[in-house]
Amino acid sequence: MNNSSNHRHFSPSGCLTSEAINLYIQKKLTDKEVRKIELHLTDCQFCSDAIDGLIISDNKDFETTLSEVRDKLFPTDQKKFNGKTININKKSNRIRNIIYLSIAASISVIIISYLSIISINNSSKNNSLLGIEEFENKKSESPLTESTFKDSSNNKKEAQKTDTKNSQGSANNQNNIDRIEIINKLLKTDSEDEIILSDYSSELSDNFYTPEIINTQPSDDNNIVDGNSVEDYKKMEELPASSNGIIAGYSVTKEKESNDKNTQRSNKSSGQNPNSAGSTKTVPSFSLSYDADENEVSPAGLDKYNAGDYSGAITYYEEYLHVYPDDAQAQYYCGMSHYKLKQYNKALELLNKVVSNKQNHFYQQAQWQIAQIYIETNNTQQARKVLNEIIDEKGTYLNNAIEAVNNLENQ
Amino acid sequence: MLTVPGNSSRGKYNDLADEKLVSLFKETADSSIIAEFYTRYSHLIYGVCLKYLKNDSDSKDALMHVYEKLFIYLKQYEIANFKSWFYSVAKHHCLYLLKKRKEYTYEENIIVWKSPKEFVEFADDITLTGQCLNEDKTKQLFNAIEKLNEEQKICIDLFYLQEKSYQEIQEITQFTFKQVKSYIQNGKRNLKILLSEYYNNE
Repeated sequence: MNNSSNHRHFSPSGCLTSEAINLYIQKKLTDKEVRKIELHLTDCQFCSDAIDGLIISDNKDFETTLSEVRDKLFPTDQKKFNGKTININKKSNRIRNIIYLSIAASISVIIISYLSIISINNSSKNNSLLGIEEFENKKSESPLTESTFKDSSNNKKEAQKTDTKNSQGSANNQNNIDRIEIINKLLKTDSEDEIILSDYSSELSDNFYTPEIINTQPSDDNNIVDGNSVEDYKKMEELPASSNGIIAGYSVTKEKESNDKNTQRSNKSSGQNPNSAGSTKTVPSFSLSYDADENEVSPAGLDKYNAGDYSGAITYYEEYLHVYPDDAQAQYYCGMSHYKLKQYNKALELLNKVVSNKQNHFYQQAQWQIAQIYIETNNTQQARKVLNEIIDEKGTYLNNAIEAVNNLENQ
Repeated sequence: MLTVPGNSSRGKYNDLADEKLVSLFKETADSSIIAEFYTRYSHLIYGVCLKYLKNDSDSKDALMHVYEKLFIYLKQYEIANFKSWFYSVAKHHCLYLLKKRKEYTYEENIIVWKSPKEFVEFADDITLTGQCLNEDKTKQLFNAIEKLNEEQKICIDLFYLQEKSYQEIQEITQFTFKQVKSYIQNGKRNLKILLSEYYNNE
């Protein structure tokens, strides 16, 4: 009996089992058992502190608490299949599915882009032939000039005008100009919306022109618009360097003014966008950003946030930021957690760190959230200032910012 | 986090020593090992967190956080005595949280609590000595006991010599559970110091 109680009350490491502590607190042990445990407590700081905590706690059923935490740390999902019970890990399945989806998406993007480039190349070749024929027909009617293609910052529509000045150059230059204009017309899409493929423009063929890159400055009179000497070739943003590994995403963005170099694509978001206030017209992108160093730790903080455990998320992220102080995602979600708890000053402090670097992945969300906080705290002047910055930068929240400024003015 | 399929994996690891499990984890990164550590120590870690953080919700979070860290730390660190090390990890995590709450500050390397904390046996150096008093050396022992302060003397006498339980000592002295435990532990530590002085002088 003595040996069996010893076995139940002391683990192989020599410390008290949870059963022993439970019985001790409930005073359901014999005097001898109590003596044994209390002698151990005088020697073992670990058990002594643990019993102190468990005795003073209001939670007398700590074993249930331990089970709950265990289920969170080691989640299992049992399902029946052919009469057998199978344990399925929901979370690792989900992560695995996300990884497979993102790989499939990346491959699809590459294939589609490749096919698009080939087809555009082919069509441009065909069009150049058509252009020559049309030119031959229209030659006597309205010759085009190089002035159509003077450089200007926001005049892609002007580049498509059909001014009819005489060109000063050789017949070759005139052929090139006509060719370009005809291609532009054939490629021209709806003037309000243009589809832009990101990240691949630098690889496009020299013979490929989009309407937006027609704003070229002729390098000299004798070689006006040649695919190889295009200067004002619009370069898409490169993915910013960061401490996080990014699996490149693909985004389709509808923009009204595509010549703005500061326009930020919406293909950098990761996780969920918790701020559903205001709608955007951006087609959501899919990309996975992961923290290559702590891939077991970071999701846990986000889980807390998503579960509404903002205090827990704050604790978690503050610890994380202690080690990785510049992690924009942690700064953002920690800031958002403070916001959810109406701790606006702390929220602003963290969100301002995110917006201190425009390359940060959560720059736009943080910027918009800062404006929201200023609006909610009736700090109209500051709100207006941030909203105007958003409008100037013409980012994802452009329309939301315009609406918000109008609301402020109508107040 | 990886799956631990029920308790079926417990049989694999429940007979192995802590240090053996640590080295196995370094090789295999098997989450069942972490689950085994959870079975062995979660109630103690939770209790320690409750002692310092004083509320259930924070303690639950801290418990989860400590075990999440374990996945990383076991890979990174060489651990000689897992039990002591794990206890210190939990304790330092709680202290870190309390420091964030500004519940204490450091002054000349000594912790000063914002509000008085009685009977906190507090030391940065966490060691579990496991040394017992030598009760056969009766004369030196009684001399040493006489040198203790009144509360420690009473509790040492009642616990060791009269073999009373904490509960009984509480009833006799009207001290709280924590006070009784603290007087016994501090008294024992002082006795060890006094007795070692006696032995050194002999």
